[in-house]
Amino acid sequence: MFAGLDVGSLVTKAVILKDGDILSYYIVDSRSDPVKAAKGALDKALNKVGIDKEGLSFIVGTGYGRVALDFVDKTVTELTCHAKGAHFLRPDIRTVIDIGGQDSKVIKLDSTGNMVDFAMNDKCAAGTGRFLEVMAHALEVPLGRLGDISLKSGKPCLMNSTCTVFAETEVVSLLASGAKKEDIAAGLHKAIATRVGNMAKKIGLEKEVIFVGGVSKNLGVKMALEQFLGIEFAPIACDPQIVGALGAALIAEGLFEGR
Amino acid sequence: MELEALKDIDKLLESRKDKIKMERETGKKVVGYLCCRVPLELIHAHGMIPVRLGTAAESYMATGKEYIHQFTCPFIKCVVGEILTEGTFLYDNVDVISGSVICLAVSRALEVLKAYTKKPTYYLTIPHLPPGEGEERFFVSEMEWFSARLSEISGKKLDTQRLRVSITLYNSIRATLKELYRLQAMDRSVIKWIAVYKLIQAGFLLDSEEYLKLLKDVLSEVKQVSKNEGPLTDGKLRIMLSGSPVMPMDNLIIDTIEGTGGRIVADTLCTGLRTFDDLLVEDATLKGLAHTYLYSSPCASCQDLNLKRDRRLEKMLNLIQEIPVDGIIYYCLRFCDPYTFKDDEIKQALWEEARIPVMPIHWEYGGSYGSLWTRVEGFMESLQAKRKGE
Repeated sequence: MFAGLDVGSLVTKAVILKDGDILSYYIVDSRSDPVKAAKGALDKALNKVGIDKEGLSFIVGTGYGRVALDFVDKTVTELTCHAKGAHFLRPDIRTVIDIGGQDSKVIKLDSTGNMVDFAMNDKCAAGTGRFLEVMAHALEVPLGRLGDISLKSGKPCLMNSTCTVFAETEVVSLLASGAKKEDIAAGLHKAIATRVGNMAKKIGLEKEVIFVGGVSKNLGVKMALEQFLGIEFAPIACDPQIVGALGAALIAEGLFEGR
Repeated sequence: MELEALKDIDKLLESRKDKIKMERETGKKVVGYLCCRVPLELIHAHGMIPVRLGTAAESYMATGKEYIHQFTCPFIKCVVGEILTEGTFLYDNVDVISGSVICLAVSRALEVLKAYTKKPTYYLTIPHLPPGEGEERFFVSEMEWFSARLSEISGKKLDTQRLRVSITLYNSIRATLKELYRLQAMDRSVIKWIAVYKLIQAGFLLDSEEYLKLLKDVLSEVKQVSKNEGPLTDGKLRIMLSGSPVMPMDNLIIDTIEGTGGRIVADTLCTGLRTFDDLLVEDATLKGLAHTYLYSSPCASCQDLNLKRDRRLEKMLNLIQEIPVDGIIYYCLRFCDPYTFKDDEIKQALWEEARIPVMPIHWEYGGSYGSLWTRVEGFMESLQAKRKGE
């Protein structure tokens, strides 16, 4: 058995792989200690299926917190892991769009699952999960409901910035001027879709495309992005938040078996 | 391995500062220059000391921001901040400022420095169009004008014999650097690119004769060690680093590449190979000087909108032929327009013409290091996969 651990800035994911199938997975909050989060997610994923850690032959760590994981056998970037995970789920996938807690990326892969190009947002968390967290707080809406609320909008507000600081100020002024929460939420989602969508167009969008990461669970962002790109995302048969950890587990399996 | 001849380079650089202070006491003038298109041989022929501006990244950003607008690249902010910070070596010792008016940020910096340092400041205008007869005529007149200004400040008329001596000296420096540069790129080299780059930077400050001696010592040791100790081969990914200036002490991008399994073997940086590679002056006159500088590797700010005619892209493609690489990291400092402009087109052209993957990195001093590391490491992983597949 093999494990993949994806330590993101906001959440940590663990995937256990057995005989080429996902046996179990678990998602926990990362908080301030990446090692503790990774060990916690791994324990929970193992407990779910009643398996002992000793049964693992190889562990691969990924995500921004991977460098802190001193108990794993190898670390690989989340870019390569997402490519591997996506290829495993659907070999026809050529583009992965991932919006996580503090960054967004677009990854292009070839027919063998190797990453051939990618783009990542530069240096700040503009237009990512953290951004939506702050906006949900400003709107006094639970983060998990932001997507559904935005679907009621008839006239999305125009947002000038995906910078978390500037956008929060804009949200506050829009609320003060009487704008509806659903219109503001829809405007925020549109702003994210424009930013990430342009990044995808820049490196060249090739079908099939999947949308993964925590933010992909927000239906408002997903639909705005589909509309911006003029495509429909390909469905995948697992939680879209664990594709990176799945890729890490697959790499663990490949490395152990000398592939 | 550490080469014996490079062991004392830091001490040499430090003691050079004291020597410059002493030389100034004898009446010699220091010319602080910006960018590699200022003819150092001409400054040397006037008995003056050329010292390149900008010695450290980051430290002087905050001061620089006080003088120059925020949409200027961090490199120029540091250059401006350093020379305007009381107590720095450059603040205390630069008598004259000279620069080539080439990218917008440099020309703005020259204006700001002229206004705030109140030191004589001379601009050498470089034609942006592809060089031809008219451009050359214009550039010869610029060279003559610059020479006349240097004569005024130094009190010495340009002596043709002295110019010949200076040109020969700088030609030897550049020829030695060229040889070292080609040696570092070899698979079994005992000197790394980073050491050669440090030597290039040492030339920004060292006395030219002392510098030539250092280069020759390093070269002879490299040849000697290679002969005695045999080959070292590492099988690492061969990387070209291209892009904005990488200042002394700013090793972040270099360390990241080396730390993620890459080995830099070539560069098309603003401050690397191009500062000497095409600068061997054949005709030792002002006209000859103008001709060589005009036709040397073009500045990134002189891009041709038609990439088929772009001399810089052509240089990159030729260099890849000469020094094979697995991939190129295209390092753009924030607001560095010459390199950021058309980074995607350059990436596409290099893929189409040479099948070399290019990764643009947009960076500002003090950004999120984790994200830089991930991008470079991810790029290395994709290059490894490409190597395996070939």
